[in-house]
Amino acid sequence: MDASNDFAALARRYWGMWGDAMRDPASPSRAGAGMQGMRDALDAWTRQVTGQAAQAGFGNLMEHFNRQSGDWFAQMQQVAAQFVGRDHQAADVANAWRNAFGSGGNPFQELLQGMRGPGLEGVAQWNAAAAPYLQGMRSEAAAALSRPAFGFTREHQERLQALGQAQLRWQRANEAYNALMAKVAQDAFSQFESKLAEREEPGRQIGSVRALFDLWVDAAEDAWAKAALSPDYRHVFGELVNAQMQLRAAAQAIGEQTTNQMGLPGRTELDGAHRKIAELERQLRRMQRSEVAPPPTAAKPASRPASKPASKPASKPVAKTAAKPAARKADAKPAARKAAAKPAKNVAARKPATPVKAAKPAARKR
Amino acid sequence: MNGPLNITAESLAEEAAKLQRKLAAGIGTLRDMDAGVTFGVTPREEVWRDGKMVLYRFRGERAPTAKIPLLISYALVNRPYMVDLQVDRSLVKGLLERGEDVYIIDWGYPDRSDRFLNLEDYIERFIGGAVDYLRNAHALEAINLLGICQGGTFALCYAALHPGKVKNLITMVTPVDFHTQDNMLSNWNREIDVDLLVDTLGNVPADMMNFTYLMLKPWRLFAQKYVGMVDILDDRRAMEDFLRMEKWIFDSPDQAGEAFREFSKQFFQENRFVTGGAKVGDREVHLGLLDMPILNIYAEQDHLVPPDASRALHGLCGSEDYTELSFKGGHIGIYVSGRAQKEVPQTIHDWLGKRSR
Repeated sequence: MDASNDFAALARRYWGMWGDAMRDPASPSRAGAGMQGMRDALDAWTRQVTGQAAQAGFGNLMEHFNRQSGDWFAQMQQVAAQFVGRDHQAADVANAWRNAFGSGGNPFQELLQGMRGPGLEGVAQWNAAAAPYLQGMRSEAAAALSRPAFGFTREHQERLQALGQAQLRWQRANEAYNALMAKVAQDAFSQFESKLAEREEPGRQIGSVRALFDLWVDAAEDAWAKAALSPDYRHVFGELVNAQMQLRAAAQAIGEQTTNQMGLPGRTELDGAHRKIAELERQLRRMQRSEVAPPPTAAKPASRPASKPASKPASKPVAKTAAKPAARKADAKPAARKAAAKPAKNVAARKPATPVKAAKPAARKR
Repeated sequence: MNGPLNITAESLAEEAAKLQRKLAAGIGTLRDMDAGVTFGVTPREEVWRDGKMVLYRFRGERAPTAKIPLLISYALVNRPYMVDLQVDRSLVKGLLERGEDVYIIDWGYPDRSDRFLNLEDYIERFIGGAVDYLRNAHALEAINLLGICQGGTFALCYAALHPGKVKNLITMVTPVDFHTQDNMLSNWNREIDVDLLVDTLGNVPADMMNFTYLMLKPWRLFAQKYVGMVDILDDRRAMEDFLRMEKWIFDSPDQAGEAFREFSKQFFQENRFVTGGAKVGDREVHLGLLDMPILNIYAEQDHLVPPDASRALHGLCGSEDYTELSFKGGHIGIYVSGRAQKEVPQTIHDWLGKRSR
């Protein structure tokens, strides 16, 4: 059977479920069936497409499409369906959208959950992978983790204590981050309601699910931008990353200890070798520069003649020299040199670029 | 009907049916597409290499007429084929058509053996090596340098340290002041313990970098973009463009640990172009020493490098011949939009033409 027809046959059945839901949008069971119908249709489509297209990364794209867009769009469709043929207000739509995430639901967290894909070692993913190591630590009190270690295994104890402390720090940081994201979500819902209110007047109403979804995206992005540029976010995010890195470092220390016992080279050993190589290369280049520099690696023969390289210096030798007077270097303190820049002239696309005079460094003015 | 929504059962059904039609058509579109999307359309040849870094020379339809080569220094965080993405979206092609002699640095994909490459390696060894190769090959004192995004920051450092080797300097969407109010990346970076991060991770994984960029606009880049993809599922050409861009966005190298450490601390955290004290190796970088002609191109809707971050160069450089091009578009649109194909290569070519004699 032709793949398109096959999909169409499957999809007809699913869209039929969706159609039933549309006829009675207030019915939770029908609505659920409709949502499921759309998801099933998208799943069928994704399987169909990824089964055919084997290009690298294409399956991932379809996965993203299905998990991210399909779900979001289906949810928004469900919300829109509730207001078909009846009077309503902006707050009703905003609340319906809010309720779609359940009590305490956070669309930002759902979005971030969906962002995780194959190969993405995100914060939460890494923690899921590390969970077996960390599970035993979670019941430990912070106090127990700071007790002095002693005896033959004191070094091992300290490494485990460091891991436990790092885990507790990360949990605190993660809670703070989630709390901030919950605030962002509330702000996004409020902005969504405001934007919906602007569309209540006739002639400005929203006529499609897609337009409603786009309006939500605008609201969510506005709320996100406000938060993401704030000092509060800077602090909470910084702590989240730092806590995550401390946790990874503590886990890596234990892992490396284990591999060392098995005679396998660890990260520290390899880094040591790479550091030496990088230093040796730098020293070699310094030595080469201090002598006459060798000619550069010969180019491969051109597949066809290039522009003839000049066989002699350009007719107008450049007057500049690389070395700058020391006095000028010392005086050129860029930050202190100038007041705020003058408004610069924009270059009109069709006009030749016009120079904007820049002020000179103080040293040169003298 | 009163309320913000004017959606009927019929319009809902039609929208669902349209989605179904697009999905069904998409199966055919994707089935007929080539196994992989192509990118990097202009012929090029390797002329010099050092480690994983390769210097390429692009070959246009005709021989270049420009006497001074133009070296492009791209960012480390993405692959440089963005400047030559496809036949109708190529800054390189536009420059070659106008007679420029275009070279580009490909940084390659660092692995753990590159973890200790630092800014001095990238700027003095790699950019410096490429510049010296070109000066030698063309028998010139100085060449033209075009730095893009982070590669522009590198180009500024190099040109300030070696002004005699850079005839004309062009910067595109290049951050200079990293502490403007609207710089999200800088805000996020400010309280991160970069030493702990690099010491823990070694190289900074590409996935982590990509995730960070997606988080700049999470709803647009992770949900809306793919909802919008449905609209073009029945358009093979548009899908190819979409997948090509998708490939470029996520085809990211890991970041060499030491270079990342130095760049983050000096620029994102300490804003040293503005506050002073930026260093490459043991040499201090003063933008006031940039006395060559400068063309600074920035994008008005840039969410990665806000315009003010780029415009700060005017107040800091020492050039008497400073020009700005304000491009109506975003950080990516400046290479691939239709407007960019018309405006950007022509502006660069005209500007260089007056200054490359």
